[in-house]
Amino acid sequence: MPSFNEIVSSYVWPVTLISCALSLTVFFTLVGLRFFRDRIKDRKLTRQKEIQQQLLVHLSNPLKDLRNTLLKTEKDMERVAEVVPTLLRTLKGGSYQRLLDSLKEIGLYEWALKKLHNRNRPRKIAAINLIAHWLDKRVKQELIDLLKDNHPLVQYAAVEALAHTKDTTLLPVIIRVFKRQKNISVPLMSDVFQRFGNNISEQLASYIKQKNIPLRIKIALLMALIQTDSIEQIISAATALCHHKNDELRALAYLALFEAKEPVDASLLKSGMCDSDWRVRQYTASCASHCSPLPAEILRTLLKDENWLVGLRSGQILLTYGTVGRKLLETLAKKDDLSAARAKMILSEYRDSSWEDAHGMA
Amino acid sequence: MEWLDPAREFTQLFHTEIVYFSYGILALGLFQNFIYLLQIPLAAMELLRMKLRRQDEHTWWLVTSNITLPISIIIPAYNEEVTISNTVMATLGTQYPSFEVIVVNDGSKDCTLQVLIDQYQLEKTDRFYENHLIHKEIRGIYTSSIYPNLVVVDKENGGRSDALNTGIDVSRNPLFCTLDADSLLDPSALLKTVQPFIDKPDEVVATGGTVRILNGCDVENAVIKQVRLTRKLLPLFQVIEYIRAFLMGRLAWSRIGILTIISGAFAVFRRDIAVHVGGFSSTTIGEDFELVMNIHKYCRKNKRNYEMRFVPEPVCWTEVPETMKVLSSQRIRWQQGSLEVFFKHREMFLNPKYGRIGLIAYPLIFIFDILGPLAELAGYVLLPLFYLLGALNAEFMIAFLCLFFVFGVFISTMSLVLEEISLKRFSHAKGLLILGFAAIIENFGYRQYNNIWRIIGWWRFILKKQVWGNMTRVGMQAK
Repeated sequence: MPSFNEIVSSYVWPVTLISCALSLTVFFTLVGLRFFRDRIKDRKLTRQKEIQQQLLVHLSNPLKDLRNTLLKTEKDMERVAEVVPTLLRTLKGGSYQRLLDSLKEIGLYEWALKKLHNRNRPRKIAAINLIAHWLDKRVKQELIDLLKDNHPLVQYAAVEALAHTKDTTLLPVIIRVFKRQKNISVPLMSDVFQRFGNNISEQLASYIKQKNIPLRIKIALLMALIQTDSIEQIISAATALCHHKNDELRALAYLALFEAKEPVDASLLKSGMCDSDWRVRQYTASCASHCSPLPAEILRTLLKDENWLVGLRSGQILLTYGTVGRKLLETLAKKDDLSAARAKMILSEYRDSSWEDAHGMA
Repeated sequence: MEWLDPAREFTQLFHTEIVYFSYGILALGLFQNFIYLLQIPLAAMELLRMKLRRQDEHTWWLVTSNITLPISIIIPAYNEEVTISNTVMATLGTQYPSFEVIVVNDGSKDCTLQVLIDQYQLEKTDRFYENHLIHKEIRGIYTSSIYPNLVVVDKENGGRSDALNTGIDVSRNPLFCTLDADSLLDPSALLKTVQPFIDKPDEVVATGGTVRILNGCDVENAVIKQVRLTRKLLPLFQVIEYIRAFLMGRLAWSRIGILTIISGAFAVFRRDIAVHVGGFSSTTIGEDFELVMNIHKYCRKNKRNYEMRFVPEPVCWTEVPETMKVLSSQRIRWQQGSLEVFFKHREMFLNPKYGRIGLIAYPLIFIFDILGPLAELAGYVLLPLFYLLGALNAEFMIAFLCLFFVFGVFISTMSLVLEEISLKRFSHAKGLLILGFAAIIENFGYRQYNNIWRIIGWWRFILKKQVWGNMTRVGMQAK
């Protein structure tokens, strides 16, 4: 074991000098690489623009020999693959299908299938995104196989592509991937569920109710369910979560009930009103806006909530009931407690009913 | 040189003490550099993890989602008539589904309020709020007839933290973001900074984003058109400093859960927790550091599972001082702030009750921010003197120079390597090259100046002298 004196005199200077020289070498190499990459990138961009132009021309005035016009060098198929996704995103109906057929003719489909097994990950992902436009049996099977890939970005790209098929039988497989791959974030998971459209709302609700589904997936499922228009399923799933032990999930459940825009069960309003989490109480107040007649007792209690934001929301909701709500607020304002102070301030802020108008809730 | 004789006698008399003292300085330098070395792989790992989760296209989903947590962006403004209009315009252009912008005019002596009234057609309203935090009296609340999500609060002057507390009290959303009046947000910055709150809603209590330097960039209509490097040396050095601090230090500590500083220039907090801990402290200069420490304390005491995250990519652009005078006053203030907060929460130091914050983060602050500047400056002044007087050998001096100069170049260069590998924010190789040279030069002069300012900060702290600096604004439009 060297002594401190030895370290100082024999090791410090060589180690620092070598590490400094190494870091400078790495850095200046990177700068050099960047310089060349910039040049290559410029050339690539120019070629991409040319290809895009030729594809646009082909769409309006079909070229006889598209393959030879587009593919002048070996690298050009890659350039086509880079340009096509953006172009396809802007096209619809006949033009979209025409372009897809033409691209298959020039061999892009086969090229992309081969690239699905490329070792270069970004290329693999780009190929997945591209092949997702031809979702035939062969592609579907390839994508299912790719779910076994170890990398989350590859898995996610495959999951996302499969979601385009709207094949609900794939849902259990996708959930299994999400359970395994914790690097896929909640919004991304939710996005995948949403891509299946309205027809999976029943399955989403059923998964939400299952006990073995991890919390983050439940949140994603509920987020996706809220975006669908199947009110019945939203209410059923949200109601099941209203008593969940997790604060976030409970708050999200009450938000879902509010988003469903349907009258909420009085017992749920009562339990939400007494919840320990202020966001649950705030969303409970929001939910009250869909009830008829006005749940006066609940809103009155929430108006004097310990969290003033809950009180504020409660007052705002009272105003959505028009004259009845406003009169109740005016009556409360005459009292001598916290709700009176809040009622006065809310009436003063919304003296011209602007909140109801702005929120379209009047 | 006969006049050196008494010094030589002194050196001979206290030779052992001098050698131990010198070794102490060197040991501290060794330890600091070891920690820097440790930060590099940690930051790299975190960057890799972020890369796995980064899919720009999908963050747009959040824009249209009604699940994304509503947020209040609080901008404290004091004498900001030159920049405020652009900052507000850029902030209103933020891509986020539900947000309000709260500008708090902290009793400005210039025309900050009038500029806002004219530009955004503000009208006085009776907006309902409740006082939960300590702040000076609100003179009026204004809302805009053209931008419904813009609120301007006019209040008595009370300082930055006072203004932020006012903003928190007036805000109505579960999250709030603090933004400096001289800063510009990247349009998608907020979405990305909020993402950890959506990913782990019951754990994440605060997130911070990267702050980058606006000086030199092309700004048009409050939007950054092109990221360019400033041609002035002083802001250039600060570019390196910011990259080093954000991309290495904060990212590495965020990775192992010991993040203690989230820059108030751009940070997102959970409103309820910030209110629970009493908001920003008006009694300390380092109010951001203080709030973060208070949140750590609160969560640890309540045995709450929590996380504070640093998100490397979201970018908030800010103007930095271009003159030594302004820069020195800023750095003196920062040092003073760190010291105030450190000593205020000293019971956390090596206290196992506070977990890794008490056992790792706090001792590191002690070594880097409290002892570091003292030791380094002592090294610069005393070690060459001891060497001249024959108390230290040449090898020792070489080791000292290597540790404090050469290794500095290594650290700065490595942070640039991380930047280039992961984020590639600079559009041309030329910019990188200039930064590379600046990373070498800053270790010879600028770093030492910084230490002197930190020592002055120490001195001001001892004298308990609070001085607020004035930042000379160039104005974003002017660039």
